[in-house]
Amino acid sequence: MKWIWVIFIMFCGMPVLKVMEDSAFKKSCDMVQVKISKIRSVRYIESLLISLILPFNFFMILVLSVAYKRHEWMIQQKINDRKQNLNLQFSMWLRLMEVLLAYNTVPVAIEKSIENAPDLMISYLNDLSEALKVNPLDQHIYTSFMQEYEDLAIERAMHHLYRYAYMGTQDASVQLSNLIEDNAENLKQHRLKLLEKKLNFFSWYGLIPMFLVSITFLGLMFIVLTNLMKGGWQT
Amino acid sequence: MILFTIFILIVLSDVIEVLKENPIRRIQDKNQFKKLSIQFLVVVVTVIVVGQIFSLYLKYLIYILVMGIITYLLMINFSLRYLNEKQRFNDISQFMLRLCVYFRIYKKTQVTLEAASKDAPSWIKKELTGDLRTLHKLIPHYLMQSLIAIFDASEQVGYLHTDHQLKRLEQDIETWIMQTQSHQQQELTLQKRLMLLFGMGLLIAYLAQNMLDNALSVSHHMQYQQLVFLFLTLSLLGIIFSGKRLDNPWMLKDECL
Repeated sequence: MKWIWVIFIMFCGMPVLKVMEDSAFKKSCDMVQVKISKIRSVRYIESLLISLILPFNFFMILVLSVAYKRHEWMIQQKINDRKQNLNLQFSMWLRLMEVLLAYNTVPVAIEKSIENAPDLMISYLNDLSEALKVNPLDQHIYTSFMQEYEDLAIERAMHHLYRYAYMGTQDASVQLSNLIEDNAENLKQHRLKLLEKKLNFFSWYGLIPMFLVSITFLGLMFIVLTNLMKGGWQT
Repeated sequence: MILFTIFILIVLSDVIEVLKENPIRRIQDKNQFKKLSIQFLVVVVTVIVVGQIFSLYLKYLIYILVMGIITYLLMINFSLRYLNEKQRFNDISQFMLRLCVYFRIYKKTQVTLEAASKDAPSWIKKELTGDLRTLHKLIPHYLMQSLIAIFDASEQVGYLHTDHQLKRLEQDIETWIMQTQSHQQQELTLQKRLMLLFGMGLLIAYLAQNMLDNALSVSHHMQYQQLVFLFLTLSLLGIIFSGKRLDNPWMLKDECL
């Protein structure tokens, strides 16, 4: 059975792995700029090695499933980290836009902001700026900005920017002002979250002394017991 | 010997850094030097006493003494770096606030820069060239970038249009200072608590070994000597790593551009 399975993996592994990839996973890989073909190859090699090393039983199926799924978890983790970073970087960019909008139109402010924009946003901003040069009042260009991250804060801000660009300052200034207030609050919350994360990690250090004492105590007990039992059980 | 080598290997990079920086040489004040010398003696005596109460053999006692001295030197270096980082953060934040205040007064970038650089700390003064871009290189925080954008905007459309933003930015800088300082305070409190826990751990381990030593003399066993040596080595490593945490820039990396 094991060898049938190994032969199956060897010859049909690649096509099966390709069929099993869903569109959502492909989209996720594109988002974090990871080549799906590379993941497929790693999955194939891992499956082959696991099939060769482990006996064919339930445990092997379990290991195979974990090995298969771990790439998805890793990509998901990367996306979550990226989303978190982007959220903070978007707020930082909006902080800059707030100043630039005081004396520029929205497309010009966006173009000027590119020079000092956070790393992750530069390519998206370049695309946005290019698209706005062609059609500065197209709502879809604004609303589709970084749409793949499905971030409500980004979507909301882009709606306001479109409104500001289309209607002018008189209509949108109140909403934009509210947005800026929210953004400032958002930045503070982000900072608090980052600081809290650092502290939470540090609090785990508290377990080290207790762990060391427990191990030492157990070790001492072990030494005492082995010394007591030296002569063997005597009743 | 293996444990001792592992300990040295783990802390080697930090030790090399300490040797390069030589923090002792930087201490000019005689009183501070005296204070540090007394502290050093206290550490040596404490390590010897701990070794004695745990009935360690001379060989292990010497290893622990060397490791204790290394730990002490590293901790001194970490605390000096912590103070440096604290000073650096204070310099940066105060310089940014000063830029805001002078800009309100003079309403012109160049005059503001000149006025602010007069009472700026020497390391900032040295880097300032009168160009706004150098400021961003010097302080890569996003608030600094917003400040530069306000200066630029003011030059182009006049001060009145940017006054409101400048006020908002000043508020943001103050919140930034407050949040960072309160976080650092919490870090210090946690560090002190951790030291207390290490102390308590040492006390509990001593009570346990004393109790068992009275029942059955275990301190002469090689296994006991190795176990206690391992415990003390790992405790010292724990102390070093917890101290190393304080040696971080106060400005969050994620907030820098």
